[in-house]
Amino acid sequence: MYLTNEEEKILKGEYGPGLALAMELLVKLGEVFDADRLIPVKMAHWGLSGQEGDLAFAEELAEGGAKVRVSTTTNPAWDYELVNVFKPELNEHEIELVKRTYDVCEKLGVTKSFSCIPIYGIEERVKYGDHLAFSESSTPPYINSIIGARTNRESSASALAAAIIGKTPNYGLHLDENRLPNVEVEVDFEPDDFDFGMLGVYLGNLLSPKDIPLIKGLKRMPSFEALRDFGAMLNVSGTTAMYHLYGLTPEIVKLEKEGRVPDKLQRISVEKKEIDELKEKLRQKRGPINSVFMGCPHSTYAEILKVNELLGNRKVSKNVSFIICTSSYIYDRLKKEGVYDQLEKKGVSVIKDTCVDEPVFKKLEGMLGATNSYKAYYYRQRRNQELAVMPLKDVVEAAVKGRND
Amino acid sequence: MIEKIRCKVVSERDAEGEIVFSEAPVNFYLADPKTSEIIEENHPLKGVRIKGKAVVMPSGKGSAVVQIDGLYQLYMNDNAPAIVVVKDPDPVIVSAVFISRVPFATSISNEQFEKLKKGGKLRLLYKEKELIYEGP
Repeated sequence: MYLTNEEEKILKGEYGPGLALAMELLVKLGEVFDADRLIPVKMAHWGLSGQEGDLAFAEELAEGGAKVRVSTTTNPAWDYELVNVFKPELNEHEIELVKRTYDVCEKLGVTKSFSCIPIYGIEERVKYGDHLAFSESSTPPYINSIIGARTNRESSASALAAAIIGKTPNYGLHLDENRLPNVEVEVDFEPDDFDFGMLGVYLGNLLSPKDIPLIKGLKRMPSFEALRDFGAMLNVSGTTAMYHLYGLTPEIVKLEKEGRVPDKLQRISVEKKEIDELKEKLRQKRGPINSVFMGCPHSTYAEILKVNELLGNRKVSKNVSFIICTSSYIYDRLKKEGVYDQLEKKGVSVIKDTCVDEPVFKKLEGMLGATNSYKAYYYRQRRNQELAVMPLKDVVEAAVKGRND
Repeated sequence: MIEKIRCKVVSERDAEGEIVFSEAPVNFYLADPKTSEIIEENHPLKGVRIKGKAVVMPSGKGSAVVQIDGLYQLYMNDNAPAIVVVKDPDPVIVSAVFISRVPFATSISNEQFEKLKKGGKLRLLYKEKELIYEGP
């Protein structure tokens, strides 16, 4: 990979060990993936986790004097204030990890956005053709597919290194030739928002990591929530960083106009029956529930208002902890508008900066819960909690009744 | 029989180990850091200890971060594999071996990958970008 004189100097450590370490990782990636050079990125998202491996790397960068050069947001870990709410039995190590995470964000100059929908609310800042380095697996599909900006499915470390240097190796989805569809997926029904998540689960199981599906049969652009869940679930059951929606997303419209859509595509068709079977299977765990998990990925403002509306004058069963994880941006807005208080009175906890897969929800482990997210189901399972997966309106009914019937 | 295999490398260290071959992608997050035993249900390597071995697999898997922590925990517990060999690399596995400085070889052909299935020993020469394969 070609490096400019300036980039060589960074690599040799003339600007300190932190920058040198970040550059070293980018050079290694560039060599493995045959990049010709480094290209500037406009923005980055560090998919931090509060886990040690990732944190140790970030701390080494920070101690070496590195700071991010482009606007960089982060994934959630968990809000330390919640210790007072849930009173989980945490060990010192778990508490130390979250404190170290906050500290290192400060040192690196990262925006402590702590949200896994980093594109929500800033969509107008990302333009068609922009190069970015994003590492929350559910977001690259949205950026590549819906906006037509370009990012690889970065690791937490490679996104952070790109943020520090302000550049990324030029390979993968940064190149035109790797963004063409190779599989055609015919959807023979009109999916609702919840169905899009299920469609993601279904296709994730069928596609290979390098496949770029072209989805046909959709009549209108799906909602943000539907696209968020489609991208997220594709990357729980599989690995897909980009797709096209026929007639709807910018790159396929352009390719079509220019007559550049490849003609020999593999074909998959998805029938409503297959998605219905999957839905039935995922909600089959019946009985009393102790919790509801929404917000994996983080819930939007509109979704939270919907929960408030669906509840009406009713309250959540006293046996159920109803948790909605969201960004601090949405949280603050709900507080200001009084919706937060209304929900609190009905038994719903809106939580900011936090991921459902964190130790702070320890007390809920070991019993059945409900969710509208397959991703939440998948991760909570690793923490010894089964969740029944169902659409938002059914989640609310289960919460009121205190059981999944 | 001794054979040389061209490869790409990341960590700047020579290494050698006995081959542990996996048909399926390995997620190091699902290895016990205290024993190096693979604990993932239904995985072909379930129950196998990977400390000091040359772990050969088709690709990595898992989210943008767990693979990194998995390998890091093995490394901190002195239970890391001697070499990780991945046929098709992805940014996550490259970042993981970089952070834990575990010797790594990648971008080998399907044919060479299939050969390693027979087991034996691997030696990685990072400067030469070569794997030296000694079959059983």
